[in-house]
Amino acid sequence: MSGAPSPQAMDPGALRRITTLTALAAAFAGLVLLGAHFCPALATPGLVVLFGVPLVRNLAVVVWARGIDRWLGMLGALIVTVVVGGALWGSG
Amino acid sequence: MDLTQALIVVVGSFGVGVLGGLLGVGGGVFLVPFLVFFDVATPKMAVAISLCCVICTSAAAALVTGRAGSEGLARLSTALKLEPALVAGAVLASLLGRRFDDGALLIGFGILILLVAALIRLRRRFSAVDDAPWSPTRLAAVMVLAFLSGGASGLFGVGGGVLVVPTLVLVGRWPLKAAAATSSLCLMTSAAAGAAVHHAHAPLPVDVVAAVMFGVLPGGALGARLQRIASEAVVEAVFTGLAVVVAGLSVWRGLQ
Repeated sequence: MSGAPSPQAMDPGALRRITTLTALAAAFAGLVLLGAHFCPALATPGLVVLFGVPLVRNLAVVVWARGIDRWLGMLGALIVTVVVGGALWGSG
Repeated sequence: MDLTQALIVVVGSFGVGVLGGLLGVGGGVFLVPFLVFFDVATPKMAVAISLCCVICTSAAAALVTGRAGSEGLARLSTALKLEPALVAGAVLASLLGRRFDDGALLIGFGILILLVAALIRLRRRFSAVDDAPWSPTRLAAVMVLAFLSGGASGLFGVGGGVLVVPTLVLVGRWPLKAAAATSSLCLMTSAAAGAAVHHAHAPLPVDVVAAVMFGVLPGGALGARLQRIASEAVVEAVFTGLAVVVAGLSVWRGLQ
């Protein structure tokens, strides 16, 4: 089983799009959390967006990656949804 | 949190970010002690706040590495393979961490910082690069260490990069830049999982999270720029000195 593909295995353009979208999601989460300082109702949505950053990343992988990466992205999205969604649901 | 405390948190977090970026260890190693020593948060809450911060610093670092040349290019496939092990470790440790009292957590944190300092000193000595595909044994070893790194992340709020990077360099025999880039891609998931589990037990103080994020992110960017001009030997010496001081203070505070 190969665990370390070469650095060129991923299309650099796709990686750039994935990481840019992820950073934008994180920046958006920061803005919503800042907004929560003035409007407390934004606190929970801000945390949901923040915890959802890896989900955005994994969905971007599903869209832009190829082959096994796409399946791993789906698995990652499922894990994030179950763990983070379960924790948020548990917190009420 | 009043305005004065918010300013202290933003300025302190900025300093923590500069240190984390300069030393290449992320913010968590210094953020948790800062929040605890300045009575901004309890140790458990500081861990959760730190994990929230790791999500953003990891996303920001991934943005930089996504634009890097092939030497520093993140290996997304491997990052995705490591994620389940990291998340499992982070969730288990976050659940386990709720059972520890604050003193034990701080003592454990002090020991972890000393371990990290030792690993950073060792990584240059064992920096032989072997870019061949991993054997099943090596892959299993990396996955076990990723699980433990996720555990350390969930328990102590450190990014996990301080352990994932040495794992990829020492066991995976990867180049340092590729290891650092890959760790920044996979840490956000375990941090989000750990933070969500902490939030399920005790709601996070959103105002503190926001203040910390707005201090650490620009600080981390400045620290990363300073790292390019600083001597590696000086950086290592500074980190070792700081690690000993912070570890000593953490253990002392934990024993109180």
